[in-house]
Amino acid sequence: MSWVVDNWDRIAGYALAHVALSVPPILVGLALSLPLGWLANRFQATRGALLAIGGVLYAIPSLPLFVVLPSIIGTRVLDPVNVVVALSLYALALMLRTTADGLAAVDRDVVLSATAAGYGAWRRFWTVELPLAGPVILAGLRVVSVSTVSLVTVGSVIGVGSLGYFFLDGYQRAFPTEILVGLVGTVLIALVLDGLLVLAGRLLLPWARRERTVGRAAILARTVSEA
Amino acid sequence: MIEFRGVSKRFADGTLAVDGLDLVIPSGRVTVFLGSSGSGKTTILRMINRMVEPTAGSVLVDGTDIAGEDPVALRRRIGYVPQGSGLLPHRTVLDNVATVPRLTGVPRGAARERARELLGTVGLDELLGDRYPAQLSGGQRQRVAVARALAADPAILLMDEPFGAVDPVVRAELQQELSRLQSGLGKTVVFVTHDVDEAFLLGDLVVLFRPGGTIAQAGAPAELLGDPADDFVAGFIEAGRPRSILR
Repeated sequence: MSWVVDNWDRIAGYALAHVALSVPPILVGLALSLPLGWLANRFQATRGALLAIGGVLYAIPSLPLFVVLPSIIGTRVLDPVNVVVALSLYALALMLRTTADGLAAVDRDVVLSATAAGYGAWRRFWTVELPLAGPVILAGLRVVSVSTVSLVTVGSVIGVGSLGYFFLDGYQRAFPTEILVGLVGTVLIALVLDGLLVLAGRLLLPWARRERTVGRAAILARTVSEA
Repeated sequence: MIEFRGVSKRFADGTLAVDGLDLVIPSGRVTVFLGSSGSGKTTILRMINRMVEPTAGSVLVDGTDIAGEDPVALRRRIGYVPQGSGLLPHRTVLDNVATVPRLTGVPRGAARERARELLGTVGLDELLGDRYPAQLSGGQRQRVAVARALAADPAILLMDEPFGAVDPVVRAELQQELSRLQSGLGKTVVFVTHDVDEAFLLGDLVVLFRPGGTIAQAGAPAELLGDPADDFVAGFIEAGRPRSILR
């Protein structure tokens, strides 16, 4: 415990760096998945191709990607941008399928009736299809968020600082407390980001909760009447 | 007035859904498209707001060929009620009804005010306005769908089996409500159904389609009943009226 107190500044610094490395890839992955997810659903051929590329991307191990990336995008080897770009690719690989599936699952009757009411294609995508795919997209984003926070620690191996540093340092010095601090910190960040996503969902998708509540109320009513 | 001139529709898979249709739909009256599934009646209805494009012929609304009009602008001038209510699940009832006025740039406050009035017009409590569609019954949702179609005060109302998914008691209620509304509004209504009773109850003019999208007979309900053009017409009407079994 005294180690935590003594090293509080370093822990806080690495925790902040960890958050700074985690959030951009999540947002970039989401943002890129929207047009690509739309494209995947638009044509039969693009769906197979895009989802296949997404699958392959996610299969690349993270450490080699961190190492190879500088020579591809022309950054310095120790540049944190390498980690952000690599994790954005992973986030996109996961989000692409989720967004494509979410958009595909939007009720065709609702889309048809929005078209008949006079929505143009662009407006219909942003104000009807995307919000209705929202619950599915949010579920995918929560997975991506946790996975990104976890993957950031691997960046420490190539010298990009995050709470992952304590894993390496603690391992080399055979000092479990340090490893534990890194672990607990990483989990806390993942939990906080997940909480923020859930909160954003409640604010942005209030109707989704109502629908679930109605479903539950109906089940409850049935259970009560059967009892 | 809506006019079909030599309209055909062949789908990408080769099916000929509508074959050389000539038809004039009078203004201010209820015209019912009656037929079994595969008779092309919904396809024909959707050509009026360009949800479906004909492969041959032309569709005219008030003398203008709609092929030259912007489909989005055209649809905003034509009310549409689908079978499942087609309401936006993520919008409240009030915002659903206000959809078309909002699309055409009416300020939110004014659009909602109009929407609130319309809830009364279709026989719904104003208090339902703040609910989401999932919190309403099937009958209530169809009433909201009718209110939404009326919101921009269109001259034409397209109704695609609007009461097909509700139970018979509620359906009878909705049919009476529509008759009452129409007697005050005098819209040009095109109503698709496969239910013979519904067609004769609501239609000023009934157009009975054969499979393959050709007209078997068009006329007032009394004409189809009293003077069926052929065995197909007589048979369709007889088979479609379950109460005739009891006679």
